[in-house]
Amino acid sequence: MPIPAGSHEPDPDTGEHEMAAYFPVLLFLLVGLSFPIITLFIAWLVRPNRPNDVKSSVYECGIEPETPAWTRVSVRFYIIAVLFVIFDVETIFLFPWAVKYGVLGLFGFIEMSIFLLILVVGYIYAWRKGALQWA
Amino acid sequence: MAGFDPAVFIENLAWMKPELLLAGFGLLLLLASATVPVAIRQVGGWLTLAVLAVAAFLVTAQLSAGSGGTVASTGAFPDIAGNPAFVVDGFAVVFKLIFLLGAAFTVLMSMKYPDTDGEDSAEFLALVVFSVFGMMFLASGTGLITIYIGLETMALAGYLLVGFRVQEKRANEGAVKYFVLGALASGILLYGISLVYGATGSINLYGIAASLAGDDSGAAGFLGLGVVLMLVGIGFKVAAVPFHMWAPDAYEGATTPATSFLATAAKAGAFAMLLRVFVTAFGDRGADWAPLMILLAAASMTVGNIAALRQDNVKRMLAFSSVGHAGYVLMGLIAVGLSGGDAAIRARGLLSVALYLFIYTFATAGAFALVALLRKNGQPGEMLDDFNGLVKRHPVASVCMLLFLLSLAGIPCTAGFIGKWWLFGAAIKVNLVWLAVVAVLNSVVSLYYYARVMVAIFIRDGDGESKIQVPLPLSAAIGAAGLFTLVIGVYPQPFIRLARYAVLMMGA
Repeated sequence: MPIPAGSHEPDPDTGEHEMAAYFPVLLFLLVGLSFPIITLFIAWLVRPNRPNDVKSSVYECGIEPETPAWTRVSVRFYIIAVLFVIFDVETIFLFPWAVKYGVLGLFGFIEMSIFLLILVVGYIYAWRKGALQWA
Repeated sequence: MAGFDPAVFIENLAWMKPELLLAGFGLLLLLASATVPVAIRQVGGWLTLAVLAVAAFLVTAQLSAGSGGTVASTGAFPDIAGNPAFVVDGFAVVFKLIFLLGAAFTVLMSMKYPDTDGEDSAEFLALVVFSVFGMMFLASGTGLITIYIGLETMALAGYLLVGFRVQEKRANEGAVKYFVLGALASGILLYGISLVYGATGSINLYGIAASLAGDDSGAAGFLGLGVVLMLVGIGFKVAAVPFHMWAPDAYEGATTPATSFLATAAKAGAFAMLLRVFVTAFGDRGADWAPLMILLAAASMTVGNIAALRQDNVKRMLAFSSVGHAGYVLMGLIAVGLSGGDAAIRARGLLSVALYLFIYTFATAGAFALVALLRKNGQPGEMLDDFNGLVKRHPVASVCMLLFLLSLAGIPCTAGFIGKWWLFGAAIKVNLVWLAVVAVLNSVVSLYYYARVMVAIFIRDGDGESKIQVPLPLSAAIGAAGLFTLVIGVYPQPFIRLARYAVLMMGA
């Protein structure tokens, strides 16, 4: 199997395995899994458990619950979130270009302008169609 | 930035003229729909048709007339190993023409059609244009990332097209089903791609082929699993059984021009991807993946045609019928896979797929154009009963529908017969006579439900409604489709010559 350029060939004398470079990832995975499990488990062991009716009811700022807990969420939250994701990804693409601006020169500038232009068309469309209206 | 040459990049970009044209025009349509909606509503359809025609001209111009009519086969955007990510060869040209044809029919149907002629007509056209733009990368792309981006562009625009009628519950249902299952299929496809990359070390089709060339170890382990998963992912897009369940709901829920687009262009796009990937990258291992495809083909033909028997909604019926046709088309690919180095059989397989997709586009787009013609109490109709007595209300359209249905069933003297003859012949040439027999039997079965429509049109009596006013674009679409269906059936040679270009697949 071809080895990608710039990678580290395992040294058979030391018994090094090909996957050795991924050991930190394994460690990260194990710590990430175990940390919440352990802390929540210890909390469960230590805390008292004495449920009663008032404590188990739905919280509504201390008063008796008046309206059902399931309300309809307006779709405009979703629209704003999707627009955010799109323009955030656009920003992410802008960062490497900004960092290497000098090397990329005029060609990079024009290419990036085209990229931005395409997204500006989308922005104008979203604006004119009322996607940014919060009313 | 050593090794990157802007001049070479611009030169490579010149090979993407049709794609750039479509992308630019789609953006313009979007801008126009946001800024000058009234004006664009009037001219949008004709403008789009003109742009599609120019794109078709640009695509055909890439078939450069060298001496002896050679193809301007070239690769663009090479990666580190020199493998191109975007090629322009005969195969790409032929399939792009199929896409543009399907899109042209869709645009014709959408003009002056109630659902798509409203305030958002320019958006419908923009979605169609963007979808075709994505499809072109499926035909020309040879790097798996490029192909995937093309697939997603095509699919996302497709999801929106299905859900275009936002007020209609069935449209929402169809769009959500298509979207969720499509996203799942894309995920499976990507997983397959990553496994293939892991097994071969290359993300480019030519690199994969090179890596597999010297290696006779068979499709075991990661490679085999990756190929199977890729087949699953693409099989979904093609609506092959058992990945077809989204098709009836999506086809029924979508507005009729969008359904036609899904059935003709989107299906051809998925087949272009299937062919490109499996013939270029896994061509050597045809004996390994062909049995799986035989299963898919046989299942698609059978399930598609049998399920269509009981449908009363014509769009659902045509959806299942298109599942059956996907099964027929898979036979061409199977022939290529089992050709084992025989260039003649391989050529026949590729030719038959391209030819059949052309013919199928004419017949299916024509059939959907006729569904677009139906009205029930002023609303677009889509049930079998809405066809009752159509011959009295519009005799010419009825005769055209007869042609389309006969072509889909594969009756001689229509184009469908020619297409099926080439496809079934390709299967027989690789000693899959039983599969060809299954295909023929299924064609007989399909004749029953096509005949149900014919009976409704010609024999049953309608409600006695007056003559239908057919808008010019729609009658142009029906007329053109009918003409080609008849002409290809009687004199197919020019189209066979055109489809022969599809055999010229670079590097395979």
